[in-house]
Amino acid sequence: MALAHSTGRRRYRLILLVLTAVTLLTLDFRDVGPLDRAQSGVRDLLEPVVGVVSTLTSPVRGAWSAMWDYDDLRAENERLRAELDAVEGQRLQAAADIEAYRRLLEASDLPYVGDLPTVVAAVVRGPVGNFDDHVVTIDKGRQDGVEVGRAVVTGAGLVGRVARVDARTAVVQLVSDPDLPVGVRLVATDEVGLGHGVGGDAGLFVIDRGIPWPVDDDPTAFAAAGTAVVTAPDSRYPADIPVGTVRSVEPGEAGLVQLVTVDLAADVTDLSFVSVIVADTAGEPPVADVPVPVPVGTGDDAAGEGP
Amino acid sequence: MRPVRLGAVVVGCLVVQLAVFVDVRVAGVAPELLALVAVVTGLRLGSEGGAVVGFAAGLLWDVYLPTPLGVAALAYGLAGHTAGLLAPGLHDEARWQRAGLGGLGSALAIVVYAVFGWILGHEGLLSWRLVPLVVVVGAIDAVVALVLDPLVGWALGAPVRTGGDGGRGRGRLPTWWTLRPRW
Repeated sequence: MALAHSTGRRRYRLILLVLTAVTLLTLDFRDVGPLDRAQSGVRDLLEPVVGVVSTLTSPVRGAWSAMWDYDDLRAENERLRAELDAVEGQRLQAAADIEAYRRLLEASDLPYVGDLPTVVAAVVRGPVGNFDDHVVTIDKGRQDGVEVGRAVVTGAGLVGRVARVDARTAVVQLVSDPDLPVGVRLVATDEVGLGHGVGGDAGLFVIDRGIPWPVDDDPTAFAAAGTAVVTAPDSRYPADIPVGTVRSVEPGEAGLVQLVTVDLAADVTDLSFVSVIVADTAGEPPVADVPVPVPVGTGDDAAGEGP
Repeated sequence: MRPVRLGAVVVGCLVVQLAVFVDVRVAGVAPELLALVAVVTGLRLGSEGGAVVGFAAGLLWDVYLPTPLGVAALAYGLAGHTAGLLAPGLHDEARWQRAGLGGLGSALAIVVYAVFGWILGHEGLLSWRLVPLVVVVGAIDAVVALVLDPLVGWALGAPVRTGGDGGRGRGRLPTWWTLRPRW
């Protein structure tokens, strides 16, 4: 009798837990404010503790990285030395090109992202779990003017967008995330499309919506390999932030659209410092969905970037 | 059971997960400490305690995960509950057996988490990558369980009876098993 009573009580509590979880899921889906604030409060409360433990254990983490990533670090070091030599030679040319680019933007009435107010932030940690590979946490938050939806860049180009903000920290969803659509423009052809990360390869980005395949296979209609890809004017981000360079162009879905593979400009796997653009050019809410124009007749129903 | 101690262990695991295991990974995979806490608590307290502690631990972990609040709570609560149901069937209480069950339970917990997340629209969670992930998490958590299980035992207050019947079915744990710090 007592055993049956105990079993019934256990079952009752389990059902109660399941119902509680379902209720929380429902509230979270509906973006109930107090729930978000409570989660943010928990993270704010724990962040100093996590920071202290992180500092205390940094020798252990460093030793672990050195032990397992030594070969990678050596190879990367050699690669960086070679790149540095090349960059040094290109420095003067680049300065001239940047100046020419700025003049061109000014003449075209387009904003230059370098003039927008930014907040420089350090990356305090990478992905915390085993399922969220495409996020990093930065040490700037609401108190520093960071808002959800803001673009995050480095000197190389677009890194991602702010996905979540707490008082002193924020989580950045990286441009390599397949679930983060970005409106982009091919500089060579001036066509606008919608792209996203590949997932398996953090250095690649694919534009698979919005750019029609030319009816007569005209080779001049394709962007050449190595040409620049930047954020589109109608994107949720400020226009003309470098995204990467074209690697290849091939037929996409049913041969109606171009499938443009892009090498990302910014190395999102090894970030130390980033800049959050804290004001947009249009002065609109940063999370607003702005549709990317889809050429008629592509059969592609590409709409706007996701939430 | 000593709730304050157990709460401290759960929060401690979360802090270590956030501060240490973002970098300390094996083949790019981090241990799932909160899932492991749920499982070892289930093995020690039974299904009811395992479900409650697993739910609380998962809920805390949910705050940091990209999935909606409640997914990890549900998955870890079920893992703790299942571990508690398995506990009476254990033939002995050898340390390796608990460690193995800890790893197995953690692997089960992340599979359940991935399935729930996939159902709720996070399609990237359910892919072929999950297979090696589950294997590595199971192996790492089995090793980590050798440390975490005694810690949970200390938090629960020794000696603790095991079993999914809420503590009536099996004998006491060996005294060496429970961590007894002198401070």
